[in-house]
Amino acid sequence: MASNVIGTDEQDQALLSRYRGGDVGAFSSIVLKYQKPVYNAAFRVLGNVDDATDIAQIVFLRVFERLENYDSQYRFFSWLYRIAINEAIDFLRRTSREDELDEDNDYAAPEAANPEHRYAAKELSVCVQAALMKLNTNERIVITLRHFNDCSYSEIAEILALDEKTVKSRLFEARRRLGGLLKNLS
Amino acid sequence: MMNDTQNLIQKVIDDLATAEERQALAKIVREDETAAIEFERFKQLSATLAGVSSLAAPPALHAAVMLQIENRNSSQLISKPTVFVALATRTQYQNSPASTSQTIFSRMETVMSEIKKGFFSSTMNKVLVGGGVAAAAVIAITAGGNFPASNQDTVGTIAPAQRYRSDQSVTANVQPSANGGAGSAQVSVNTDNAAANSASNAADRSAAKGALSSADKAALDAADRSAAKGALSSADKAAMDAADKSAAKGALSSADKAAMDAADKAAAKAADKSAAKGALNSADKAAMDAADKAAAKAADKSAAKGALNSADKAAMDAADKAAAKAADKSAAKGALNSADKAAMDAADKAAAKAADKSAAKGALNSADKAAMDAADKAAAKAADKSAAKGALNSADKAAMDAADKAAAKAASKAAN
Repeated sequence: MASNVIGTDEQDQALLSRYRGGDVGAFSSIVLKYQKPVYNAAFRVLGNVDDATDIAQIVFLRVFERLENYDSQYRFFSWLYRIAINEAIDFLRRTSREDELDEDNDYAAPEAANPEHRYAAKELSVCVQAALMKLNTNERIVITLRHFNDCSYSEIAEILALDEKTVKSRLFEARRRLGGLLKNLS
Repeated sequence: MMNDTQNLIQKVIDDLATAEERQALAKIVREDETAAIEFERFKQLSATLAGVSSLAAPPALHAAVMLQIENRNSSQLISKPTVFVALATRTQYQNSPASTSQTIFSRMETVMSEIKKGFFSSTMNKVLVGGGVAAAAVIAITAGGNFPASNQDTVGTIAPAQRYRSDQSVTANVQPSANGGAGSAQVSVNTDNAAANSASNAADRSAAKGALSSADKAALDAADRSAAKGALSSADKAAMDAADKSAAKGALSSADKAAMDAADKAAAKAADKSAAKGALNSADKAAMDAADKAAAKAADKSAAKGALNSADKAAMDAADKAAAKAADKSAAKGALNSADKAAMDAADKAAAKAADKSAAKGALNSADKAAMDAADKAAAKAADKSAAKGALNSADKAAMDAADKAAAKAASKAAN
């Protein structure tokens, strides 16, 4: 499966190299590049915009802290997403807020969209998120990485430290459950 | 575990299946209703999830991250309130390629300025807050609490925790002092307990002072963190509120505009339709009127023509009749005139002949009278019979006879 993750790892490695060379702006570029996918991943797993904002902020600080430990044989975004997923899981464990649903995510729709499209996009987003929050955390994570972050099986396996077969099986079960939930919700 | 069909379904959904695998699944779906339902549900799910738009990152996220990173990179921020770092670093980020940070920092500057006023404008507040936190820190030390906090207890606030650890040089300063006190105590044990107590008290005071200093710093750090967190939260919230309001306002304006445009268009369309309908109706009416008129006109024409024809015919008939009648009358009149003329001519001729023949005046009068009577009778007879010729002939004959008779009578009388 071809990856649709934004950019290439070569670009990321170049930014990291610049940052290691003392260019703080390179790290700023990394944050700008990945803030949206990291925030979206956190939101889909946590279901709350405030929590997702906090986690996204923490993720980039963790990256900053641990950058010296990053092994460049792995793709940077896999390492970044892994930190994001782990932080989200830790947050859920600490707060036990897995069942909370935040419907105040209406700024998701593009600004250019007309009111009708904006309303429809919000309704769909809320409906899908409500169904996602009924899945268990592992199912929600694989759905998020596959459908909202466009990760391939191998990338998901790398991020979650699982083998591809497990990823496929987990994704299939998650899809089956989510499909049933969305059918009931609709 | 997934079976082969499920594996095929997922491959097709994820666009990983080969042509042969797609055909195999199509065959399975045709034959197995359960597989068909599951495949359809997976397709619908995939389409639904593809339609979910991604969320925009919070406007202040990037700025907040870079602010905290800048704090960590700076070793001179311990005694400075963190909220001022944003202002100090603003110029640097304005010059960076990340141009979006300009507006974010501009917003944060305003928000932080307001926060700063609220939290730090009052010296009394600062003293009270700092004193309270310092007292709590001293209590924590005397109670043998977990201070300084371990790394595990500083979850979520990494930057301030590390900064605090770097401040342990203050605690380290206390440690040698305590050791020194202990050394003095060892000496004092051999010489003077009072000195030892004094040294011990001094060490305690030093330790307390150090602790207070640390507590002050911790209080300031806590205040900084709180202020920074508050500022960031406020900034985030303000930015998000502003974004929401702006988006809502924009959406409302767009909605209004769209509604007005739609209304205008609908009105225009309706007007067009109405006009078209009106025009159509008018046209219909006009056409119908025109048709009616034309029909009426045509009818009129037809009628007129018919009437004309009839009239013509009638007229012609009448004319014919009138003509015939007139002809009859004319003929009669002509016949009469002819008869009169013939009679007069005959009378003239008879008179002339009688005069020529030296007929007496009485004979002439009688001949005239007889001729005239005969002519009148003949004319009347000819007119009545419409036979001018007969009348003429009769008149002529009668006139001639009468003239002959009158002439003969007159000649006889004249001869006598």
